[in-house]
Amino acid sequence: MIVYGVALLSFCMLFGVLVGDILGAFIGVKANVGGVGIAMLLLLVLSNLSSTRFSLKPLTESGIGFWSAMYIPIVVAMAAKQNVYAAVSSGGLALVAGTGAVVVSFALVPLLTRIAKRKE
Amino acid sequence: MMSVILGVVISFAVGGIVAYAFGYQDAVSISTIGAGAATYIVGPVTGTALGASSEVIALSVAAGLVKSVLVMIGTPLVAPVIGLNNPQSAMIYGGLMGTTSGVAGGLAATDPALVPYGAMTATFYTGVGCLLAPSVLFLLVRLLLA
Repeated sequence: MIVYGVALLSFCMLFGVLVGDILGAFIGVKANVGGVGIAMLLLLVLSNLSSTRFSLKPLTESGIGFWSAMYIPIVVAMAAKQNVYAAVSSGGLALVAGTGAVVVSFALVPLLTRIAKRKE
Repeated sequence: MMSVILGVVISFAVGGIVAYAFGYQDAVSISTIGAGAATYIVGPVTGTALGASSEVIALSVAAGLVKSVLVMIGTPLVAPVIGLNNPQSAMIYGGLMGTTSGVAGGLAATDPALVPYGAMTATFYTGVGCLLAPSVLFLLVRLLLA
């Protein structure tokens, strides 16, 4: 059933948020520390583990697939309700940050490939 | 796996340094924009978790979008230069760049056979980014500023 996929997804999310809150309280930060990240990695592990133990039925997978298809519209909606005017008026920050990250990462690809080859 | 962690940290560092250079002095804003330079998912996730201002969250999404579009356009152009022609380098590439939509689009334009390899590590990147940025990396930034 599709709802099983949604249930698995929400279990991971709730678990991640809970662990994130506990971690935040533990470190003394008033924030959810890495909850979404924990949830994502947990979902990755669970949905791949299951291929050997109890296989996810295609219908169950589509319960997860729907939300993974929804994430771009959700990001657009999240961005739309932010203070875009203030962000745009602060100039080229986003442009410089985005471009910088891409240039540096591109440069590292051949380096890491060489390291990986040497290890073999 | 190493490329994923390295990719998150490098992009975060570049974004954070740029944010600092543009006059953001508080750890929350710097971390949020740094996370945005990783991907436009990690940015708002980090910003929301840390309680960043609306303006900063919008900036982080914008930084991530710039990255995604640049990766999409740039990949086929730089692919011959950086040796992007086999599954192994595609996996490393996906792990370093991270932005799943950018990597999938860029690799599809380069060689569709490489898409699954890059997309796999790029998905990991988003998860690792959401995990590291609001925790270890934020604490590091706060430590550096103190």
